[in-house]
Amino acid sequence: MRVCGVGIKAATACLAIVDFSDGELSYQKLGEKKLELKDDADSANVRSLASSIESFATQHKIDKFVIKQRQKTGAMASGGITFKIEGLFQMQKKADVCFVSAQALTKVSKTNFGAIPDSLARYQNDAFLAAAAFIQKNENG
Amino acid sequence: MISFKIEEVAEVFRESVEMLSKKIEFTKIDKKAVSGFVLFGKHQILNDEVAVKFYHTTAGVSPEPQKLATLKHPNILRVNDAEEVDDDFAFFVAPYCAAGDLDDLMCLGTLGVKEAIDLVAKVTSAIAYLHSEGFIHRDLKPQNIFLTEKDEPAIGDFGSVIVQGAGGYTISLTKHSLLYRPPEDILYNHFHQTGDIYQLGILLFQLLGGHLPYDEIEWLNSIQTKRYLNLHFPENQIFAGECIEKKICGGKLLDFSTLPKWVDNKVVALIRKAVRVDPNKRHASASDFQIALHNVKSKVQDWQVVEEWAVTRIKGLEYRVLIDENSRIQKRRVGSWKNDNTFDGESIGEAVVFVEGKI
Repeated sequence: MRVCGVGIKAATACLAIVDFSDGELSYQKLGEKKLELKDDADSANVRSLASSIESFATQHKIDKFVIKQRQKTGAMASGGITFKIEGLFQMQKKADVCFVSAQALTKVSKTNFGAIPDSLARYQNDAFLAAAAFIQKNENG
Repeated sequence: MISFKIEEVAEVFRESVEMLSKKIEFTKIDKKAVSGFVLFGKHQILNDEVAVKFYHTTAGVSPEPQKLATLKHPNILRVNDAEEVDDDFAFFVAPYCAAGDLDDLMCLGTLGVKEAIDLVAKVTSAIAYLHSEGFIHRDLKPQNIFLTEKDEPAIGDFGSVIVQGAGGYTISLTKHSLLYRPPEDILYNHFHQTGDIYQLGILLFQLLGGHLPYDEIEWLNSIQTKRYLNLHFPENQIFAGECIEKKICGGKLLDFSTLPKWVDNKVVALIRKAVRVDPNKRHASASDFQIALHNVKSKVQDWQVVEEWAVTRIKGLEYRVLIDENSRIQKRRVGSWKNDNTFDGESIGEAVVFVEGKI
């Protein structure tokens, strides 16, 4: 199974692809690890991001996108653009989309399953942990 | 019906053409296509203008013609019909695009920076799809990308498409447009997926206004030109071809100094990466390249060419820079243009830097 973890902050979605087979996780190196939506008022730009997500899912044969959940309300609520980006991931038809909580990321990070690979860029940590948390949860039923 | 002499069509294709003529009223033949020839006509039942391309195939390397008809992407021209003629040739039927191709679009003038990036990003999304289906295009150039009725770019020539081999590349047995051939194709007859990215890089360079001469003699230096002129056909063409191949293999095909001064260095860096001589140092995949195009688009200033001016908008003000050795700047919020006398430079490069300094 090929899972792409997604961590969305401000106007940027960070990506990390993780393959899972025979009980082993393996992180796949990516050329472009970030998708940005700097001008969300420009419809062409939003469509361009949607197309980029679809191409990414198609070409990398992603089975599932796993997005780290963010707060929608309160003092720690995430910005509106993050939810716009999230919607674009949900709109693409190439791969399923599901969510994992911030607590699940913390939990998996304390296990071997969530050991951060050396080649991972720091800003990809949440994306990797989101993928690892989803896989661990699925493994344990 | 065929409104030209059937003798103009090579004997091997006549049976197919006559069979197709029961459905299509053929009006024109174009024999200049590099890897085959094209017939134009009107589908009598659908009442659509169509183009029929006959092309050379290689068993085990070219995709089944019928497979082309299953390709579905908004930036790939829909193939209505496709069949084998014999073991060596096949044809496909696709809609005729009256708006022409990207070469025609470039003839109308230089495109805006973001418009050019957008066009290439859309073609790249089609290539990402083709790659995911196990194909490599090999002949991405302005003449093979058409504009649909909705002004969307669509890849419209599949005569060069091959099935990707197990090693991530395919031995390239047929040759396509020399200018767009990646170095590894010239040196080793290897065509990788990143060969398509190389061609997309050249396409972006051209759409942004970079100079890529189509006349072979323009590629030669003064000594080479002298020798070229002393040779007869076909030796002169072979010689010019070898000179161009050396440039391609040395990574010197694109002269980046010909790009307009308003093309941002971030875009230039992106093109440089796409056209690296070493295929492993290019963008790893078409989707990588598409993401890079998408991300860079929001980081660069958009400039449009309007007559002899380069025009941009910053914080509600419109600025225009005269495209001339002695440049000047004018600005306006609404109404008539006024000279910006705070600019004391001369060159267009200085003028662009001055205007972008107001961001």
